[in-house]
Amino acid sequence: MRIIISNSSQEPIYKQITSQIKKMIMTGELNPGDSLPSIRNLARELHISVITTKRAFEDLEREGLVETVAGKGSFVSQYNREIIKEKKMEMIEEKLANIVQESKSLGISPQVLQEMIKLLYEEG
Amino acid sequence: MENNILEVKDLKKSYKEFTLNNLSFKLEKGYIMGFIGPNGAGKSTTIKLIMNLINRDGGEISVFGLDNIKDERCIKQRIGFVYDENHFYDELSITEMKGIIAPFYKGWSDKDFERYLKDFDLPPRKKIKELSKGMKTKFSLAVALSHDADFIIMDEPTSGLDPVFRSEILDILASFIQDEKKAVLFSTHITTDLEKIADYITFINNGELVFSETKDSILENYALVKGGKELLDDGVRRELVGIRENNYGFEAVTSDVKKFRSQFKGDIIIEKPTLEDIMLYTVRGSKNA
Amino acid sequence: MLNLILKDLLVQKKSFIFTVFYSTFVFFAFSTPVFEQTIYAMGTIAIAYILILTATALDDKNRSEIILNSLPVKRDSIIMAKYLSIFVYIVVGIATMMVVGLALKLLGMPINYRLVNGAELVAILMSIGILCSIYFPIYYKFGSANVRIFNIFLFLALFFGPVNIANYMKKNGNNEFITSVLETIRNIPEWMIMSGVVAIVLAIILVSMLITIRIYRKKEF
Repeated sequence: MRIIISNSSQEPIYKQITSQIKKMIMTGELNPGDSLPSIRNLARELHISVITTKRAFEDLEREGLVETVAGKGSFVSQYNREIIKEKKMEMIEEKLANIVQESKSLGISPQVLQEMIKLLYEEG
Repeated sequence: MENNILEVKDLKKSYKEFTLNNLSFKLEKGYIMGFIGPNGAGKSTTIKLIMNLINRDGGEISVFGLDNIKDERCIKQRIGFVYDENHFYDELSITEMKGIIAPFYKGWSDKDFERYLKDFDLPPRKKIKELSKGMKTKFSLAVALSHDADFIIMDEPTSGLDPVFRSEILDILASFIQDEKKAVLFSTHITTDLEKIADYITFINNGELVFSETKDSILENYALVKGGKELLDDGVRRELVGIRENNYGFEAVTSDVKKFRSQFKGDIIIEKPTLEDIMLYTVRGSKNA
Repeated sequence: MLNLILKDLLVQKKSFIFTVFYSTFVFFAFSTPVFEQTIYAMGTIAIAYILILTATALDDKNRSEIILNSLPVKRDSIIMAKYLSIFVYIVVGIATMMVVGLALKLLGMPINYRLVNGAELVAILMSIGILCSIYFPIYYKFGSANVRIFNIFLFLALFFGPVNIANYMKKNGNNEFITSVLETIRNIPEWMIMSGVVAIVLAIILVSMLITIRIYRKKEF
């Protein structure tokens, strides 16, 4: 497990932690049921405040990515992949809606748009 | 079960030139608090009042839920202290000084003490007067950590310490609060790496509390603001603290960045502040006022 | 409390070397018939008082009252330990004189070696007891800088006071009051006078201690 904190970043430290743990869950580096370090231990290792670490974990819990069992510590949630996928889908839908909206205002036909997406897919 | 390790309420102390005015703050167990402010702000006075080294003129202090005067001895069994200056006997060696202090504490552990001496590279037979300032602080810290204390109070502990040991202290203090039952209060007039691990920051200036909050919320609400001088109308000025104007523009700090953003529309730079920025601009603001 | 007394002895380890030199000096300087009856008292009083002064001077120099008062110990105990240490220093003073005297004797020096006598013991207790009973409250009230000036006066008073009183009594030898007081004293058995003196000195020490405790309770560090 790897977490790197930048003190010069404009991004708050708790967000740096959540985004890095999130990424590890999404890429499968962390699996459902895997245990996470304790809040205090992580704070000590990273030389950051306990409250900051706590806040990062609370955010992850709220998003359903992490579960905390009293006395046992925090774990990666069981159904997190589904949740993430669902969330990602929602995000993509939202972005696509924007694109469609803009395309409409410019008079771009659905066929042209599809063609563009296809090209981009092949490029990537 | 008492949740606050320390609770200071309406604390008052007057000297001829200085008054500590109705200071209130508290520290929950399991956390580390940085006590910041410029020289002469009242930090040492507050710490001396907590330790009952000087007499308060008003207010209350409770430590572990107990009155700091009535239950003084019981409280002090559980406090480890580190002062900014050496008050140990110069004439004695480290081991001799330990021999004097140890019998006062029920929870004293020679094993712990010897381990800290080794970790801190302190030669046990060396005389206290032969120790450098940093080594004296280390010795003080070793004593503070060797009697199973639940609350560590440090007055300007980092003065004289090299960066390497300061980083070690971070580990030591973070380890100290691992079990969620203990707490640390340290004062400092310069912001150092020690603030990295602080959960709460209590900031006093001129004997008055500026704020006592979680470090995260302070750093979130405060911001460093920079822009051209033409932007400084009365409305903007009111939202800013410690404005420093130069020939090319201004710099200041705001304590409510959200409000400032929503009210202010224009070409301005808003940056994440450091605690030092906040301290510097607030002190300047109070001097200009 | 015992610990606090031991601390005072430990911090001035070096002073003990001085006491050995000092007592040797006393034996050589005052081994004359005139001082024959008082030499042990003179040595002990000086040694004990100097050690007591050094102990407080070191507290003051290191500002160690701050450490002591941060430890789980009552302020009253810190003062009580100081007063109890009076007796410890008297024992240390007597022991030094006896040991050094014996050593000098064994080395074949022409000194008069004997045990400290009862009158000397009372004189030692009285001198040190009264000196400390005046010194401690002033030291704890005004600090060591001011107490230094006071100490000079105290020493002068002790040196010249008795002589002047004796002179005064000689001059006014016919004064009825003094003659009657002396007469009464002469009629009281010696053990009674001695125990009376001891009782009075102990009472003075006790009162002084209570005053110093009151001063120390309010003190700020």
